[in-house]
Amino acid sequence: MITLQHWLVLSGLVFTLGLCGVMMRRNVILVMMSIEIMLNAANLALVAFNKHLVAAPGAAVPPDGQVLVFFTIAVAAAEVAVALVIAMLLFRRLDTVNVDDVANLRW
Amino acid sequence: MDLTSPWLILLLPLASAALITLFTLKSPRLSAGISIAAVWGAFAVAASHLPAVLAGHDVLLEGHFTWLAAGGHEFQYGYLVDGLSMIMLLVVTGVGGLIHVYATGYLHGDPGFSRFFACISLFMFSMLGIVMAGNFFQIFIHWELVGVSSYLLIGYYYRKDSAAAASNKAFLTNRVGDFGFMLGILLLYYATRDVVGELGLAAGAGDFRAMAAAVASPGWLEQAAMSVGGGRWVVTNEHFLWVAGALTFMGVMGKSAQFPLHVWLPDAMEGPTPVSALIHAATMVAAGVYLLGRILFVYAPSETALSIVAHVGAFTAFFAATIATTQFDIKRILAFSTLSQLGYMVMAMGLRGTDAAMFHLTTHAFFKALLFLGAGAVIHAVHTNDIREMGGLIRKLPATGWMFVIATLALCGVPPLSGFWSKDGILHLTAHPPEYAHTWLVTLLPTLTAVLTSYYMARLVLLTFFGAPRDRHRFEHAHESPPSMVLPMAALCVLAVIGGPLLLGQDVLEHFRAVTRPAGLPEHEYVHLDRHTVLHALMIFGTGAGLALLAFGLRVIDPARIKAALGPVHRFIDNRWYVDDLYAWIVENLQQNAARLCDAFDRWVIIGALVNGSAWTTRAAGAVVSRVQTGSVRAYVLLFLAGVAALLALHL
Repeated sequence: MITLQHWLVLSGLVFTLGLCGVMMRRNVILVMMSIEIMLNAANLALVAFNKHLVAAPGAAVPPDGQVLVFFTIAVAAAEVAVALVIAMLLFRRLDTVNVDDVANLRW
Repeated sequence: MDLTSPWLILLLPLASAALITLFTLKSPRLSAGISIAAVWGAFAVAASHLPAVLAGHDVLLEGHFTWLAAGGHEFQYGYLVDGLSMIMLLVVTGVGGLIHVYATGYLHGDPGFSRFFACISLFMFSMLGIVMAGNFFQIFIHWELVGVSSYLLIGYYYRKDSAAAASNKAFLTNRVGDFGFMLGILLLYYATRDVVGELGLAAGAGDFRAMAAAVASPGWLEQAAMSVGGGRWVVTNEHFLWVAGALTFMGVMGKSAQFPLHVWLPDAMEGPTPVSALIHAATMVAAGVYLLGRILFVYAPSETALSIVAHVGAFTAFFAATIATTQFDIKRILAFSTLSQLGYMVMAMGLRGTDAAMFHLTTHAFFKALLFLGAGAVIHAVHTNDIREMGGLIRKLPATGWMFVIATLALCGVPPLSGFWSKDGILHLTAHPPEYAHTWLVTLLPTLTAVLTSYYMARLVLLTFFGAPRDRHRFEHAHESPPSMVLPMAALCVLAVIGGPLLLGQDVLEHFRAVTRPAGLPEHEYVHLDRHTVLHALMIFGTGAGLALLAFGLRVIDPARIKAALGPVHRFIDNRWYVDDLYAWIVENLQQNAARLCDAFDRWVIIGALVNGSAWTTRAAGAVVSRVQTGSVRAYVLLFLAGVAALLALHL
């Protein structure tokens, strides 16, 4: 039997994986990909909650969690579009996609 | 608008001031013309209502509009002309008109000529507003306006340091009085508001007649106004009235220069002489006396308040007269004399003799204005204020000199000149004072003051106009003034001579009473030309003038030896009883130190700790915290993570 805990542990693992990627990767593209992984971990948790908590046994399932996931996906898509443009402009200007080289905005 | 509307009395001088300031500053003749036309226009309008007063109407005219309505308070602006305002209107515009004409000669060729007429028109507007005001708030506004115009005119020669200082002194001293006046008005308004409503008097805020009715309404005085300490001390309306009376009297003390707020008036002589004559002798300084006559209903129920008024007046009269005997500046002697005469009027009000006070106010306006104009003519001729440098001037200025002598005799109360009637009216009051004022201050000092008055005026006349010239050069160059100066003086001289019988005949004075006059004031008998009063007046004059004649005319007594014999007393009086020095000490030591304390608090606590301190803290915090902005994305993520972890730790 797969319970809510299983799903949440999986979601947490995926989220941590993404977080590690964000922190350790230097390539902008890979950082973005890691962010996507974190978002999807959250999506996974949402869907799991919907299945196990919102739906009462035997009743028709209200799709609250799924709807939220669709929003997240839409936002993620928009974010990727903007982030890719930033990455592209970064490369054009500074000839690099390494985030450690882009530290101009400091005190 | 019909040509006799009292609005014109207010609007003509105001329009004149505005026109001169805006358009005709460059053309002195036109400015003087506008100003003189305005004041005589106002006189004509006022005079057109005189027959109605003499026919015995109480309230002649009134009209007002709501100037400000806020909450349940309605402040009105307008006019209330009754007998009391009428006599003041005629004095202010009449004497004012003559002095306007005189000023055209006195200030001829002065660079500030137009400015002078703008200011004096503003003064006329302000003063007439006081005279015609029907409520406390309007009178207060105009009270301040005359303060401003007086300030402007004392500082007319603003390049002179002494003139600038004198105008500041006048303004500041008046502020002290006016502050009390304002508190008094507010207290009175607060105390009478409810009962005015209960009586069904639909009146604007602070309306004189409504207040008088409220104060006189049965049982009001004993009513509890508030209680302190859980009903242990009950403050009745009578207490309120007492305090409000004392506070409003501060306004009177400031404007009418009563001790201890008299210090500004002698210094105000720095202004041009027409200003001294009009504002600081005949009209503005009489505003306090007028106010007392207008609001005597506040004082009448309390004998304590009346007694304060009477004693302050009596003391001021004596105090100023003593100082006048030691001065050498012709205008200052007259200024102290004005103080002294104002003391008489205030005292008369305190003795409930409104008629006597207003009578003396009127005749005093005539002869004191004449004295000042005469002094102005003398100064104009010899270019000095110091009577030690004059002497024998009657040969050079015969017209001025003899008119000056007549005015002096009027001031000293020599029958049958106007001063005799009015002054002996007041002395008659003090001879039989009411119970509450039966002290030696009231019974003895006024007569003594009258002797001193004769002495210092005779001294002034003898030193200025008679004897041998003490300064040859100045004497040779002296010459009689132009007709524009002599003619107004002649008109005033006629009034100073006949003013007494003019106002006494057929009970004329009783028509010039306020509608707000409280009931139960004694009716006064005026001086009759019987042998006793005439002898009394002549004796007073003879004693004072005789002494002066012995010392300064015949030189039987040497003034210097008297001075030496009286050493400390003379020094005390010559230094004006050290009142000015006392104030200087208070300002220098107490007020300056308090100011320094406030300054230090402001500098170190408010500016140093609070204003600059907060800026400094912000900047220092910024310097530290801004180190977090490393620019490294991964550091931010780490911080973000730490933040989320911390929040979670807090919540779980």
